[in-house]
Amino acid sequence: MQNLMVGRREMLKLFASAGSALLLVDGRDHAIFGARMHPDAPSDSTRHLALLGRRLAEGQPRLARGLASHVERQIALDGGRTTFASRAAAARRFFLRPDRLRREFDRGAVVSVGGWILARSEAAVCAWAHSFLARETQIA
Amino acid sequence: MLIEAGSLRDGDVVAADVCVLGAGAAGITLARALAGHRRTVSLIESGGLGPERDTQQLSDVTSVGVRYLPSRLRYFGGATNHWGGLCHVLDDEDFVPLPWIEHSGWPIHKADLEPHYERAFDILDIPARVTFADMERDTDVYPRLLATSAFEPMLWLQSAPTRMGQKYRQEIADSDRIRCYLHANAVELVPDAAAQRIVQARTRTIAGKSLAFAARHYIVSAGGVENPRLLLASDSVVPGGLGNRYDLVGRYFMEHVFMLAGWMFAVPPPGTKGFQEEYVQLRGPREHPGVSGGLFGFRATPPFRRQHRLLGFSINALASARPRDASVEAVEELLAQSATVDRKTGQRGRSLRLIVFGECGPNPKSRIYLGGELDALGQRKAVVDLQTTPSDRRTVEKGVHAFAVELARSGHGRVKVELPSEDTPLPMAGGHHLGTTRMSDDPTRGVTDPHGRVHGLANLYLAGGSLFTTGGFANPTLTIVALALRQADDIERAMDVVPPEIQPPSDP
Repeated sequence: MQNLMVGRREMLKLFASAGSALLLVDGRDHAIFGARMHPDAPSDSTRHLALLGRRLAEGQPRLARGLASHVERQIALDGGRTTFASRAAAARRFFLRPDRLRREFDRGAVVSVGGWILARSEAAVCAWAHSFLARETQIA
Repeated sequence: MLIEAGSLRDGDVVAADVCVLGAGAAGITLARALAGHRRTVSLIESGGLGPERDTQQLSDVTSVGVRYLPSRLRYFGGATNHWGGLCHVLDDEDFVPLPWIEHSGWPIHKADLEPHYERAFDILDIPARVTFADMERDTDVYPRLLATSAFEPMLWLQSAPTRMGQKYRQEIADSDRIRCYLHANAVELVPDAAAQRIVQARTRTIAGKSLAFAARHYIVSAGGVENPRLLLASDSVVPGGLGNRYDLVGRYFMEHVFMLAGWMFAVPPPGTKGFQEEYVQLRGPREHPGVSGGLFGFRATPPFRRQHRLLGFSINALASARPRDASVEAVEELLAQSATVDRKTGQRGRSLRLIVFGECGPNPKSRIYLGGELDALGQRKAVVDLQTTPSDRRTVEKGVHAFAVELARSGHGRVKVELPSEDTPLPMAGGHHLGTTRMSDDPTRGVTDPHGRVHGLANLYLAGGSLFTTGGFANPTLTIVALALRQADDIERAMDVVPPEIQPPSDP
């Protein structure tokens, strides 16, 4: 497992040098979408979500941190997934259920992310995806 | 008959049953309708048959308050020479006083206008009044994207757009009863000494020739800026101008909020073949002549407006190319993840621009008045002091946000809201000039009575958007024409009540 983690970090380091750094430094949206280099690299869909998460973090950093932590805690409760893919899948499975989203829209639990009106849980998954990528690239 | 005012002798006085000042949508409608009642009409037009710079400059204004330069065309046909043709009738609730909208409530009901709306459809070449329900009935693949307690779908109707100056030019030229005087600029309405009725409308050509028009009834239909301007300028007998005893002339100036408000990213419900914008764009105009090809929308329901104390508004969707914004992919991903999208069908989302048509609240501080600057005829230019109300912005913000939530709740899309910041005025770009001589039963609250007759003056009527008490969200031309048709009937009924005391006619 340790090897896998290192491998992911190495991958993320490459990813950061190739594109993610651009995302974090000069803000070019498309830079986050580099070529996948590792089976456990974040999927394009997760990177898309991370893009929205970055916008939330830029506009409402405290909220973004809180939402990301909430997702992280839920993943831990869900059995402490190890691979990124499994963690992302767990987050999506739990937070992006249609009934959950509909309930949030019903009661007005929404967040504006770069102008997009999203359910709070949608914003949370985006915030988590971004915080995860950002943390990993910084560690790397 | 079309007559160049310059061909008459300086000082001539021309008589007719009715004098209509302004040959735009309202003026042409009134002249034709009254001629249909076998009345003779002097139709006075400032311009000619096409645009001319020196005449157009007579409409120049100074803008204070919210920066605003009213868009008008000063020649035969008026603003119908450049309007887009988008039409909708006002809603029932536009006419009634609403407790949360100060100064709201027309002195007439929608039912009073209904028969005239039907005639207005013919004048504006709208074949039929088609509703969303009509279209929905005709297809089994037409999915309701959004129909909730807060919003209901709506269709815009489309006039050709009818250029009334072109459409009716020959008819008026051939008419025995309508004499249209071109290049005659109204400079004053002259009342009798008691200021109870008008005895003459004075005009001047740019070349300096003075003409007067005498009639049993006078109708000013020169638009929401020029109507109050002429009343205020007519102060030789009554200081402060005609109909202005309660300082109401020019006040309550309203426009429409008309703005892009963001993007709608919509995903068809699984199993459906079509989508609203496709249906409206591709089948609407073909199968339902008169339906606007491409513009459908959602209007707020009365209960929703009441609950949130909102002005009228509609949120309209216009099919558009996908925005250059990577966040669209993210939102598409979210929609896919939330399983409201059936990936197996291969259906992709559609990008649409959101356009808000919003009502402006009536505000007495928003006004047209006379400034110190003079035009080429020596007339004081109008100052436009457009003021918004807090409800204008609140309505747009609340409306768009609520729409975004409702669409998301339906599972069929998400909205990206793009609204101007608090310190940026909302765009008032409708080109609609409303409310400046509003109707009311009460002379202390309105310039005219429910027939458009100026309070206190037996034979002076105003016509057009300046009569509106509130503006609703709909484009006003259809209602302006319907109101003019109603007024023509009213004036015809009043024709023999007011004794004719007109100047002796001269032969033009």
